[in-house]
Amino acid sequence: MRAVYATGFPVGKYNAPGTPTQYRVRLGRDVHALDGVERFLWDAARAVGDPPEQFQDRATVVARHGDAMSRAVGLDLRNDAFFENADGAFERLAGLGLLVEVDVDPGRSDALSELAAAHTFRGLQVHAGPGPADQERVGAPGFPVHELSPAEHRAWTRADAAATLADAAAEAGGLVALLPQLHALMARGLGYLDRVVVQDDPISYVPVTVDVTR
Amino acid sequence: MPSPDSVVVPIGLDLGPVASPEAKGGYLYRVDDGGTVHTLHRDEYRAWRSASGDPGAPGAVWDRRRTIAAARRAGVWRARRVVDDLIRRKLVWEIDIMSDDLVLFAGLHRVEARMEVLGPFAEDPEAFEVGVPGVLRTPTSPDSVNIYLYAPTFDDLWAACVAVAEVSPTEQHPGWPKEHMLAAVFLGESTRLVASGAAVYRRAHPELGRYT
Repeated sequence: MRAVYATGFPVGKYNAPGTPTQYRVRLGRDVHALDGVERFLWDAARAVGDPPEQFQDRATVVARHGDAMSRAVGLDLRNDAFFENADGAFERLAGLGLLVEVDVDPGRSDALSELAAAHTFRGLQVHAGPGPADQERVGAPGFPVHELSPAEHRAWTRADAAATLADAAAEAGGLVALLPQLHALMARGLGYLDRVVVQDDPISYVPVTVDVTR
Repeated sequence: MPSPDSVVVPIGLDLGPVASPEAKGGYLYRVDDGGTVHTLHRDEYRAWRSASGDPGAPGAVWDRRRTIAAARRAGVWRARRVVDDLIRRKLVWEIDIMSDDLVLFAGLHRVEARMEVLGPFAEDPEAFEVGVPGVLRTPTSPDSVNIYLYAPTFDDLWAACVAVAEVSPTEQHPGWPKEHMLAAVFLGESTRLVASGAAVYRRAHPELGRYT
């Protein structure tokens, strides 16, 4: 099975007069501009089902994307043209590295190792106090948003402290065990996968300026 | 005597409490400074949290006086002594942003961006915020947002400021290196980001060993 993961850090929604809304995502030191369809698809890949799947493939992500966009506009958009368009958006995002497909079947560990060496998990939000029973609250100081089990809390802190996914997996029983845990955290906005960068890589521009016409 | 341009920030990510029946209050508190997980007693933890600023009033630049007052309000006995001890142990830093302290601090620490960048907004295209949608938003200047979003990819804050200064359209002030100016603005604004949980400072380069 080829599992799909979204990568990158959300950098805001840009509303420049006279131009379509852009959604920006940073991956490594590159900042990419997404249109509305791409952003919905990227969000669909970050999400998980209810109950969460261990792994989700491209068909699951695209179907969820169709459901979300249909809900957003109040029309059933799930027709051939929509899915053709979604396929194109998927390919564009995969080309930018913002969606990664990786083979998680036993015996196909090369691709998984490549993913693990090239990416790192970065935690989002902070500890917000103890929760009920043995849970921990996470969110902002004074604004707890999520309650994590001890295992989820451990994954959230330990994967964040590791330099790469490979390092995190080494102490978490392997990547196939760790990835579903991290995906569940990412779906709750508690982290993201980032590309490991070479420190000498420059940044090409600053995306945030007060000149909204650029 | 601290400089009027001094700011105070805590170092480390709060890992939460661990039950410890013999400890005051029944818990000890763990803080990961990027190289070491420190175990703090309750008063130390409350004072460390006080250095984060007040999340209910995140507008003020946070300094030692405010930290000590907040620690006292949190019930810390001999708050000044506890805060000074945390500063000595480098779990809290006091930085004069107009001096070379700033360069030293920025070179020894990295910034973790813990929340999303939000904005600009249709109603105000110059407004940028960092936060959790629907929960908390902290206004942040464009230059600081740029540093905030790139900082996780750099080994330390100073390297991020140098890289952003090379491409930022912000004008340079005569006699003040641009990266120094960006770092000073970011550090001043970061006290609000730290207060709201949007940013965490941790030690960079822990391989260099402990602070001396």
